[in-house]
Amino acid sequence: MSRLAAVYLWDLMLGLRNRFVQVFALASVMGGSALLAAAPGRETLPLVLIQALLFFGSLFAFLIGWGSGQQARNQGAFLFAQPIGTTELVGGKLLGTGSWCLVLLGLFIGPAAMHAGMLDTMLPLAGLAIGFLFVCMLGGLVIGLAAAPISGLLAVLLAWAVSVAGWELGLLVLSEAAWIEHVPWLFVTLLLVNPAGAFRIGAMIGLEAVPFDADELEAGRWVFEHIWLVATGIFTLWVMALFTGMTAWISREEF
Amino acid sequence: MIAARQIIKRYGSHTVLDRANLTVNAGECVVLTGDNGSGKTTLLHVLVGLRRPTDGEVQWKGRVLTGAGRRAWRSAREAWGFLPQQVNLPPTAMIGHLLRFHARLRRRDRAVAGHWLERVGLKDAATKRVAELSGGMRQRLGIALTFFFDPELIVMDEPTSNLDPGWRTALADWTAEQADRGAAVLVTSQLEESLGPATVRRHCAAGRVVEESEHQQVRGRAEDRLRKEAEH
Repeated sequence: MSRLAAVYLWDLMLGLRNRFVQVFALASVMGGSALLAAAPGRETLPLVLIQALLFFGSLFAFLIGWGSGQQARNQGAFLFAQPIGTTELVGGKLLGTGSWCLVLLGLFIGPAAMHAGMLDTMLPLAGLAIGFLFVCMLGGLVIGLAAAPISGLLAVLLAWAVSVAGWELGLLVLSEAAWIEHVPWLFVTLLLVNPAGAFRIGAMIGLEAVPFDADELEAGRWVFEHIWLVATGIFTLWVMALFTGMTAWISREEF
Repeated sequence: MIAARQIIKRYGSHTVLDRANLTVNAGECVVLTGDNGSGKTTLLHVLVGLRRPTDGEVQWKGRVLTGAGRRAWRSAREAWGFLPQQVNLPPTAMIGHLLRFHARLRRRDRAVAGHWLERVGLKDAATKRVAELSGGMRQRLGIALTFFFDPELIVMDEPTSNLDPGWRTALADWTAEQADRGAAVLVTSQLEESLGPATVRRHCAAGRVVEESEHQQVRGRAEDRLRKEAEH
């Protein structure tokens, strides 16, 4: 068995006993069921799920990734003296923790997906959510392994607040500014450079729940017409950048 | 087998190791003594690649590892067992799972690791979580995970901490056993007499490693001087 598989199975096992995974599994089942019951109409359910995944799903993913990274860091010298390559260590953790995120996502949107006639609607949303949550989880893992000079948990909450909540609210404010109409490409870029924006736009257009008037944004016309491709590309680029940066940066020689 | 050559390690303006030299040969057990903060742990970490030296080099089987790529270090680590001062393991992990993980990393049969679990007196602990173990039991678990794959080099940092006298004796026997089969063993200890079978003693002081006899002479001279000063 390869060492990557060994780390993956180990992380999968640790995830089962991880307090975040346990609490979030319960929250996912309850949240998904509650949304299904509370949604005013079936047609509004996907939009509610998108918002919930955007804000709460991303927070869960950040925290799970952070917990996994911190666990590795806490083992310190004992783990880093083992014959595991950095790529195997980070890759194995990424796959292990990512698998748990996938399980939680299934628990969250499962009740809605199983609801009569909703499976087709949920599948495209799930595809985008996997990419988005994977990026968030990797971001948390980076913070957990990096042991930021400030508290790791605080760093995770700050990262989530800036990259998801703050960014989204900032764009909302920006969209009201008169000058932004003259630089539509900037607005589109800001929307899509962030995985949260890519997820929201991709999910909404994919679901056709919210019509997006792409005609007014000449620079973004092609982007919006191929939003699935673009969103997948954005997620892939982010994962590659974070993964490559982390494996290159992590030096066990100062653990 | 493993050698530290002219190792300098500085943290800012503070020099922890000042041209330290240390060699451990196959079948040899070296006990590195020294006061707190004398640089023992730092030297061990430099040797196993957990600290980057400011200057100097580490050689493994004649090959310079300092500055070598990750592949070279990983290849060397495959033959090394390292027991740090603090054995930090995930508290929620089960001992059996931990054993399986390490057996997979070392590409060894789990049964071999299980045999060592028995030797360190934790045979019945396989279904326990790490959090349920006492400090001494964790230390013994760490020893089992360090020894089970018959490493060519064993490095242990204060391995007797948390161990009862009986287990200290057992550790001394196991260490001698490892050296007898040809492993190079390096142990730091403040308790100079705790590892009886050690064949070579080195002393770490002021960032340098000196032979124990030299250290005794220096200490003797210092004690003489103090005694004379007291008499006057």
